[in-house]
Amino acid sequence: MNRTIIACCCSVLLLLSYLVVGRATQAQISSEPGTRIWSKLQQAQLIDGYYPEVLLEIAQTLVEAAPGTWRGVQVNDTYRSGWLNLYQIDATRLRSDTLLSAEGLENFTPEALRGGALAHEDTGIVFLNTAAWKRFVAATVMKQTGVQSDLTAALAEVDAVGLQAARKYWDPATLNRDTAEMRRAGWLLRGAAAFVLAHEMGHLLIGRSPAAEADQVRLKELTERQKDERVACPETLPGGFQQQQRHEMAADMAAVQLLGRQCRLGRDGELRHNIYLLGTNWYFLFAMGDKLLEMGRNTTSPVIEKALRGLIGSELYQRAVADAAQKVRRGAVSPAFPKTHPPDYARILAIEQALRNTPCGGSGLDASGAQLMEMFRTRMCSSLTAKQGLK
Amino acid sequence: MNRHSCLERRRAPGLLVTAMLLFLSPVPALPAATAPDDAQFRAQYVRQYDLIKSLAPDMVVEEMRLRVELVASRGSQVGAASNDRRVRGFESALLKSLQNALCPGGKPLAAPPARPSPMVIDSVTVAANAQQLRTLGGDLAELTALAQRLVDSQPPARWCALKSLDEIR
Repeated sequence: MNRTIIACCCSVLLLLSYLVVGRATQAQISSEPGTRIWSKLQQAQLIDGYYPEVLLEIAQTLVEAAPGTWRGVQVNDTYRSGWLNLYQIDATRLRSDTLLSAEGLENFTPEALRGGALAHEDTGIVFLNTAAWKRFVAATVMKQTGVQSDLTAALAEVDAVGLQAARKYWDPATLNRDTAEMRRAGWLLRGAAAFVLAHEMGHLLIGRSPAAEADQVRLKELTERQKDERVACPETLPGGFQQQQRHEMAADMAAVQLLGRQCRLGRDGELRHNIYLLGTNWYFLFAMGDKLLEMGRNTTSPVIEKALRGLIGSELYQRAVADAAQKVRRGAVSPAFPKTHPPDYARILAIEQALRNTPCGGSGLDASGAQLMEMFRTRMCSSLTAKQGLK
Repeated sequence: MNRHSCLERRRAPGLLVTAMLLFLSPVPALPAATAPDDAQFRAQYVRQYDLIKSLAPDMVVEEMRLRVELVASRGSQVGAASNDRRVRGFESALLKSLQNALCPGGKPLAAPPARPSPMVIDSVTVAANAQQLRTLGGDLAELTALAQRLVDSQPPARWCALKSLDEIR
């Protein structure tokens, strides 16, 4: 009996010591949030390499524009402190909003990653959502090959058929073909990726946003329409969001410092600078097109419906907008003028202005579409603030 | 006898191992309920409550949505994101928790609770935890003021019958 008890106790002690030592080792290895994030991304099978070598090349050119800031760049590999760590993830595989909450990333959600990228200042990680990129790539290829005559219509088509059915438009087998259309698509996408990455690196450079100022509630009664409109107007936007917008603008300005030095780096600097500007423009066209579709899905306005039918065609409107409309349509203004980011028009103008003061200069960003939206916004805000007695 | 004692001894270490594993497992930090007598909390609560007390109830709902969205949208992404799903999740969790606390058995509590009611503070905390929203600084006090104002703006029986905060007028 004694031998049995001793054997039982020994087994338990061995098991416990194995567990404790194992846990301690694991804790030591995972003591750094960046390491834990990398481990969790792998465990959740979120890593999705999509042209990682191109991403690395772009990132290296941007890092070169900020000497001494990062020790190096790595893509989809073990986390390295002090490096720029880039992880390509497929946000459609994300099953929980809380995967990285313990690491200080409460907004690691499919929605937050929808724009294509997300930065984590504490660890120096930039996440790039390959699902969003594939959608963008497919729409770009459709436009460049003439399948659709407009980028917004191309986005609508990808949304209507779904990303898997649109695979031939984002598959490397198509993109790697040496044709004039694919070369142009490659420049646009490479440039757009450079802008997105530069913006996120800008966030890493400027750090977290300072504490938001207190909200100033001044609007006593609003119609449903005015509730939607108020978020587009600085006078009626809560202070916390105004602070967020200033911070996003600061990230754009930091991005300009990385983009505006490219012409001086290497023998192909001038060409690269032009490609990055072309892609920045393309990214804003994409963002505008995406907003137009979201506006259509969130409104019952016959004016917007007519405009969208004219832009993308009635058949695509039905499949990509009407059939995908929100159950509760809260209005078109919120999707057009998100609370967290400055209006596209203001962003484009500020970026262009700041680029002029960089060694490479820069002009030619197309703000015409955004300008129309800005005129609409200004008129709407004047009317709203006048009704509320605000100046 | 021997077999029996060995089984008992096997069961005990099993429990011990489970307890050890639970002890060693990392537990995500969640916002803890703040005591209503905390001076800073109370000052922030009173300031916010005073700011919103003249608002129409549906505007209080609107302010709450914006406040939750502000908490949910903290982060650094290149384009804007919709946080509607998390805002709606917070709302449903808040309403359910408040109704559980204020409408036991589906009927309103006889005596109105103190302000800020600990039940309202707990309900806001529960709703924030349900959406894994990290409340910082004055978030909890201001959300509590908004929730308390909503409770105060509706007759108790009406509050208990609400299906959604969209019904608040």
